[in-house]
Amino acid sequence: MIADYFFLSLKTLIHRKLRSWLTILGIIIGITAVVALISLGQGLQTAINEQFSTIGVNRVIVQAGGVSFGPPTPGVGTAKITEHDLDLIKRIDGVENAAGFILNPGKVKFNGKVQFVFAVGIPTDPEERKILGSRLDIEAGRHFKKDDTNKLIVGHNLAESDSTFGKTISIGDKVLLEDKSFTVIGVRKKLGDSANDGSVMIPIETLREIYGLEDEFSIINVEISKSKTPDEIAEAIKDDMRKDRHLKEGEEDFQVQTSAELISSFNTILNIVQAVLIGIAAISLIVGGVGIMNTMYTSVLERTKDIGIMKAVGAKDSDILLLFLIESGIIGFVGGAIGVLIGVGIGKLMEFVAFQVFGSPLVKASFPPYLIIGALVFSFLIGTISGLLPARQASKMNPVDALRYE
Amino acid sequence: MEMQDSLVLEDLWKIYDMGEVKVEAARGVNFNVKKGEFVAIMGPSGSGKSTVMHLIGCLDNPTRGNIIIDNENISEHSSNKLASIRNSKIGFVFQQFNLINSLTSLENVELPLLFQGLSKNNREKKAKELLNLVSLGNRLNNLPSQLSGGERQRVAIARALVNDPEIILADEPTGMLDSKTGKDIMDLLAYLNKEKGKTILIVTHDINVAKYARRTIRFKDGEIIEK
Repeated sequence: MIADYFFLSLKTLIHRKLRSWLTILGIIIGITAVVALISLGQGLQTAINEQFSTIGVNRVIVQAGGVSFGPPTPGVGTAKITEHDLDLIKRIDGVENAAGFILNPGKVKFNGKVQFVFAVGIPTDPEERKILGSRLDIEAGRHFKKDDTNKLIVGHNLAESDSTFGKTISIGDKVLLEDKSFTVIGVRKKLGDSANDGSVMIPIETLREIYGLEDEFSIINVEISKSKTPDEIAEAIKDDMRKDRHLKEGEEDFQVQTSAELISSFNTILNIVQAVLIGIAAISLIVGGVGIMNTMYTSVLERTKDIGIMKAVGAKDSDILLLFLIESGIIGFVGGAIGVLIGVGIGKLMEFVAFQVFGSPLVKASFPPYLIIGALVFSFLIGTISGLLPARQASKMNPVDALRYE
Repeated sequence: MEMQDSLVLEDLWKIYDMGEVKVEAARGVNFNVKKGEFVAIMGPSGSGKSTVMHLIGCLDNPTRGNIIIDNENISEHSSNKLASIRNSKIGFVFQQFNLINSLTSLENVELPLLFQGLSKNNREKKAKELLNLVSLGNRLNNLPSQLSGGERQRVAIARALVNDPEIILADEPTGMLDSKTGKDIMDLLAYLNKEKGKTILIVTHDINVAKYARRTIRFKDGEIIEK
């Protein structure tokens, strides 16, 4: 029965091909935009979470500066985090281990060109490096050993592309950092953000020497034991550091964040951006729905006589209602299906273009099943809801008047 | 043996309320049609014959009075009940054929059965049978636009017959056809009446068409002046 009605509706849609396609186009555009935007937003979120996971999950991060919203901003404020703080943190119950590193802008000269890049000072002890997470891993050459001094590891982009120095840097090359000569021993793993991938890493002691930084850190990573939660440890660190610095609560000149907090603050921003974009895309869907409604009203008017004929041969009001609803539902659903396909295509294309142009793996389209199914259901609903009023009008027509209509 | 009544109209009124004026399109119409009768309804334009036809066809509700089709009084039926009466007891043949242009001959004839909820196979079987009866067995998959006027009217007749109705209502069935084709259509209706025992009510201006009927009812100003 429903199948028969479906074919009857389909036939009338095919009978007026051009108008049907134009109406469907309205829905295609809306669904395409929504699917492409959500898939890219989702992909971005996943990628950012992956980035944070290179810091290490269940870590607590300590850095100088007052509490600020967003990602770590090293070097803010005058107070410093030092070896003294590191010792203090290590003594806290529940802290498995802790290590720090320094992030400092540095003048690098290679191939006759001078560029300012981030210089990262990291521990030479592999155990301490492990605490700082997989983001310090290398993809070629070797890592620092104890007693390494004038050795240097370059970021992925410096070794892969010649855009910074007009020449790629290879293992064994000599590089000048603040006019001091370093031998390149390794290439750092690709992280996907240009700051890290364009940076250089040197042993932390060497960096302190060059910049006269004595015993300070930019960031300390804290590895916690399984028996405690990151939040508990973060509170304990705050307490102890406040006492040590004779500060009251709320006056901290340092910040303690869990990796989960960092991720969630990023995700909050991302969610807002995504909501705005999807809101804009949703407007085009509403426009598409109005298009369906318009087409269906025209269709009801044009087919007044057909409605009269169908009623004359025994169609009930509910039959006519159903026929028109199925028709507008088909418009919505077909538009949705094509929109999903094009949306997936655009998402993938953006991913490809971003990778080619920016070399960034951050833009990654992801298509969870709920997105695909949701888009299809939603487009079908838009179709039927938009068709509701026109279909009601059709079903309520008096058969005599409908038959007389020319 | 007394023949059973197929249709009885009792003091039937239809008044259209046009705001300031009330138009009395049918004013106390009484008549009955026996099973197997062939009756012509004649009268000038505006005499109310079409209005009465629509009332008998359950396309409209009367203002007053009774319409009894096959012993069922339908004058107060809801629109759903009227639809099912139209579907099972009435077969329409219109002046302008009234086929659905996007459907083939076969699909047009199947349409009443579709609304009965019959399966595709049963619908097709019955529709083909009737299209063969009206000699259109070779035009099953043509659209109305690919058929001549006479062929279209024969499709419409097949459609009117497909649900095996109590009464066939024909409203100026030859009005759009040339005289030769018109005669063919009337011969077909006469054949259906004589050989298949169908009750036929035909509204017409044309005296030659009315001659096919065994009885003529004349209308003027919403009233019957001769039966």
